Amino acid sequence: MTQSVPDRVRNVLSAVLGVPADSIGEFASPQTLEAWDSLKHMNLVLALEEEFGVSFSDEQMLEMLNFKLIVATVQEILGA
Amino acid sequence: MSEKLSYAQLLAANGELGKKMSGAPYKVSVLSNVMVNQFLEFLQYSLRRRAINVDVKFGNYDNIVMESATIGDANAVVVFWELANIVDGFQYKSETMDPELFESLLEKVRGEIDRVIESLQGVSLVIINKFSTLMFNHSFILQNRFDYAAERLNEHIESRKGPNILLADVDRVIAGVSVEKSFNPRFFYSSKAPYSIEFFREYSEYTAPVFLASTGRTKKALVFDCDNTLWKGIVGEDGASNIQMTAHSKDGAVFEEVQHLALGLGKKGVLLGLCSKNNFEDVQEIVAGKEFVLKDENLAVKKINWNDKAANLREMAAELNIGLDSMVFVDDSDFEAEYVREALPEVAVLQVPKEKYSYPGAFRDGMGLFFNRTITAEDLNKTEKYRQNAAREQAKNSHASLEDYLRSLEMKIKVHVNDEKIVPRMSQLTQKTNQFNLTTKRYTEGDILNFIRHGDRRLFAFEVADKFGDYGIVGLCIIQNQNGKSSVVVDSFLMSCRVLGRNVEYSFFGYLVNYLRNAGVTSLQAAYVKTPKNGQVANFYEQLEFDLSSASPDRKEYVKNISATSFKPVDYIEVVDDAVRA
Repeated sequence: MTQSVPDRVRNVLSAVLGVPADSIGEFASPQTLEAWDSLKHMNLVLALEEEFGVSFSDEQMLEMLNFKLIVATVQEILGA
Repeated sequence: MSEKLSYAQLLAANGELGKKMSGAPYKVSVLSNVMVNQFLEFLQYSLRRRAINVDVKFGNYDNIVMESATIGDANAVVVFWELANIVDGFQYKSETMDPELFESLLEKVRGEIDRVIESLQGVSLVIINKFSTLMFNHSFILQNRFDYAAERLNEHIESRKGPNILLADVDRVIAGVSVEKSFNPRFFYSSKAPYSIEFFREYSEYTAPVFLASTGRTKKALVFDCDNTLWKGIVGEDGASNIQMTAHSKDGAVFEEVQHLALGLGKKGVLLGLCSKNNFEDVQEIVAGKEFVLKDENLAVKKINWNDKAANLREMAAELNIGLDSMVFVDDSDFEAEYVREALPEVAVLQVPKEKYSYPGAFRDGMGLFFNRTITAEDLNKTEKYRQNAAREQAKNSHASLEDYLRSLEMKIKVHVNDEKIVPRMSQLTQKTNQFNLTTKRYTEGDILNFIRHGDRRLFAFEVADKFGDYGIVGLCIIQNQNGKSSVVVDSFLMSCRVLGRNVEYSFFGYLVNYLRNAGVTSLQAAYVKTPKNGQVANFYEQLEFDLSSASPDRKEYVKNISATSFKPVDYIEVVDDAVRA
């Protein structure tokens, strides 16, 4: 059972922020989700790097401003 | 060994576990001079998984000294004091700093360490990480000033630490993970967060035994299967002369090593036993042989028969007077290991790895379950005591009535009042006693010493001996003063199961009441606080004819006017004490 990149990102976000996966929409961001503070963002980066076996550059980390952009960044690194 | 969850999986599992926890929270405060916020969930998960309902609080970043002064009622404190951040960039500035400034900085940190140790002396358990330079200096051949600073500061903590402080050797954690994977340079330079999630995962496992011990969950007994667990081969099939368990034999070296490791635990007070499906005579032939390291005199209990292992383990727990959750069972068979896990989920099961060369390492990992902060003289003699017990049990059968038997034992109780020499044993009794324990309050050595030196409490520890031998210090009662002299509270009363059923508790209580009355006490308050294990003392105070003043399902409160009553002494037990009377 292979999950799509958006589903995997959504599950990681849900685990890190402690919110239900179905509450995370396309444009979920630190502005729309109260739990998504700067500390949680660091945890999120670490969890995503482990989940996908990747390492984000500083620029990429700055671009990961909402759910959709995170998915795009991951897909870009994976070359998908 | 548990499977390794990814960070996201662990966060999700931790959230689920958190919803299921109940009972009084175990409060842990984390103080640090760097960012360690990922540690929160690793610590929570590690302890929740071990049934500790942990409540973790983080102090303000880089404020260890001030935070330690306002720590409140934490049960435990963990201190991450990172050398590289004692001043910004110390990992490189240490080399170029003016020597006087360098020395005065060390002096300042020593002073801070003293203040933190002082502030935290009332906390039961304080884990302070040793200063480490590995993350920055791992490839250096020559020692530099950064290393020098770590050594001096570690020496300083070592010289100042009280019994409540445990210095955690972070280098071992880093070695387990690797330096490269422990250090997160990206977040160190951007956010002062030097440790990786792998580091925290390993650190939480490394420190877990300490928390288990502090919450009274140390394992007490280690029970081995025999064939292919203590030796290579099946004695019933291969014959005693063809099994292997020495370093000289082809496949025996790992078994000799495990037997020695087990014997080492036995010498520290862990009870050892055998539980094997075999003919008794076959196994006994090996046990009596000179190659067998564990030897009969080190084995507190043996079940060599064809009964099912869960039933045998249950009987062993009863004979040793310990709970099943205090037992660790080692077996090579998938069937037996699974069966015991299913039938007795409280028992920790270590399965012998399929690759035998992994066995000593896996066994060493499991040895953390027996972590004990203090080893006392009583531990060292424990196996001998259980063997004496067996002799007593035999004597019991030859006496007509229990009372005749008890009379024949010539029991003596010696009470130690506020005795600083036995602080480790008193602390250990509070940590390890579960069954005969009226309030089940756990105290560290630091707590006990505080009570004696500064407190409003009086501590009565008692030794028991009889004609068969010495039990050592087996009971403790802590009396807390109320306002004024005339009313006191029994804060704790507990007794090791080794002396149950001999009326020692009644004899001691008679002594205690007389002692307190002579000291001007007229009223005694007491409580029974229910736990999953102390049902046997639920009516202890009723038996002593205390008056019930309030009762809820989990707690009963009592009061007893002792100005007039005298407890009838148990005439066949002699009681003496070491109290200095005015």
